[in-house]
Amino acid sequence: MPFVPELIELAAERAAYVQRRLGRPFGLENLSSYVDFTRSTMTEWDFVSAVVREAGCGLLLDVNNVYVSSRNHGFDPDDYLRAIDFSRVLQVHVAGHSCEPDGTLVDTHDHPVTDDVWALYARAWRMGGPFPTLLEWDERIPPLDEALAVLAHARAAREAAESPQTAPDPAHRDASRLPFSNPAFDAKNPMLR
Amino acid sequence: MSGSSTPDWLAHFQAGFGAILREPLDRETGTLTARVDRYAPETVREIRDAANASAAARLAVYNRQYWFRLFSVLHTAYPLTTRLLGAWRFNTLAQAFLSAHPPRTWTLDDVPEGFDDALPALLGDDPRREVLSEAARLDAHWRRLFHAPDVAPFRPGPADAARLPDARLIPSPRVALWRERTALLALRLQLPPGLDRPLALPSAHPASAWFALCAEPNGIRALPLDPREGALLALLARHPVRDALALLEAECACRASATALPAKTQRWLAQSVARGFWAGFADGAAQSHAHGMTQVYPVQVLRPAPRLRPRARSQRSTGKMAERRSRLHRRATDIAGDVEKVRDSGTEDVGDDPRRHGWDANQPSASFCEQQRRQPESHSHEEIDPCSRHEEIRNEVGVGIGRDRRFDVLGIITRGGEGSRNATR
Repeated sequence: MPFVPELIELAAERAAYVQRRLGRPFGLENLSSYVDFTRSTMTEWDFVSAVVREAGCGLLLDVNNVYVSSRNHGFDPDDYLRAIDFSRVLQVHVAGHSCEPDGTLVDTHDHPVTDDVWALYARAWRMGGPFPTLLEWDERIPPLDEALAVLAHARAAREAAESPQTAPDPAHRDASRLPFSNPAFDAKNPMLR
Repeated sequence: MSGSSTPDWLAHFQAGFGAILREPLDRETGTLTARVDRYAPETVREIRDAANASAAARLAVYNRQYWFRLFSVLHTAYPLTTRLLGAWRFNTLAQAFLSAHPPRTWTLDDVPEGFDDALPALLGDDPRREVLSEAARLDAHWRRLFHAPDVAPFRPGPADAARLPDARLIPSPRVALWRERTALLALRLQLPPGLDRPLALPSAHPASAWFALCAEPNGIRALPLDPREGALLALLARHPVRDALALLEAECACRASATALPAKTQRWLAQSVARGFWAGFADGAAQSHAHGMTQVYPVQVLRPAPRLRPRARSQRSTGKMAERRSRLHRRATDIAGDVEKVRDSGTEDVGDDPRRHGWDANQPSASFCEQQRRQPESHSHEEIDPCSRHEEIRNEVGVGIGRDRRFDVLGIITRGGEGSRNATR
């Protein structure tokens, strides 16, 4: 959907509803994007941050998606990371991507994680670690030893990063609690009361 | 859920975007190409051109990814069929299937559902149609077994003995009965790597081969079955125990085989119980005995089969007998109709539908039955085709091993594993 203030409440309402029905922390994930809407008046990171804040839900931060979208739309991925409230990050995703002949990057989950994405991951760790990390690899899945090598790479990237400055409250990842709920938003939405 | 409604402009765009996603890819050029010229201009106008690609080209990324993802899901669900057809031909058929049956649920796991049923029509007059359809059915069994719930096996107790003769055993969803004419199973178990080049069809068996496919913690195991054992299990899944045994005996034309049949039947029945092939039973009293699975798979009770009585040879030529045979034939047809009604009712009662579990191995197409009957008897042992002559048998055979109790079938069933051990000695 286009990133416009008009749609923040619409998206937040649905995210809050899902979280309420599930009764446990629910995270919205930033997507890989290939299109830029003519109607958009906000950056993706401002829109996503606003939706997460209003809904009182968590964020699944996919650093590969940030990187893919930054290349496809020509923004600085660090701008995206700087807008993130890492206290809401439930998990970070890394993955490989493919490159189309015209240079468009596609989030295919079928290649090794690139060095650029690992570097972005390390910067995210520096800004908001520690956080749980998930490697997404859906096709052309490598042998176990190669997958374990990716795990070692993730650890190395963390160790190379500076000591975390912002350690989120571990309670944020407690599945029995709804740590980010937004009572004010809930009160003004009939479906959330 | 009620809340803020989607603005009209957004709903309109999302409908247009959905149509672009589902736009079939062009195959004429020898590659899968998005037909951007078919995209609705009002939807494309909502997107900005990028520095390296037009708005339509960027929308085409979603269009292609939609199809590639679904093809990939179908390749995973039908690996044998994919290899026999080759990826290109498979994708052609998959696109036709998915265009007619676009995904409508939230999970990709549902996407392959029904492809095996649709494949024969999609193949048209392909000379390999029968074998390819059989391969798709094998793949479908595999997939259903992989997703089968962990149902407790039926362990009959002494109290069940009185009800079992007139009850129909309910196949476990964790077991599929598989009969093949071509060596597809062996090929599926050892598929060579690669996707693009179609594999040659495997060789045909001299006679149909039967297997039980069992979902186990470490994967799916294929147990070879004696052809008559397979026929017995298929009959038990569709008929009350008493009738199934009678039908099996009636199919056994050879005297030597008929003499050995009771002992073998005891052993096969006991083994089927010990191996957990059954999940319970359904009888005419509308009661079920499906241990641990009643809530997940509510048992649907079929009308009990009419009792068949021994035919008096001395009356064979009388008009009265002919009339009785005609009446029995109609009743048998009614039963077959009931089974079909249950199957066609669209019920989710998968626990009572042998076809859903792969227990329809004895229910191939009519053309297959006809083909089987026309085959020369070039094989060494009797070919079992329980789909043939059922109505005829119901009319002409009244004395069965299940009826006059020449052996203790029910005792073996209710003793389960003990019977199996005794019978194996």
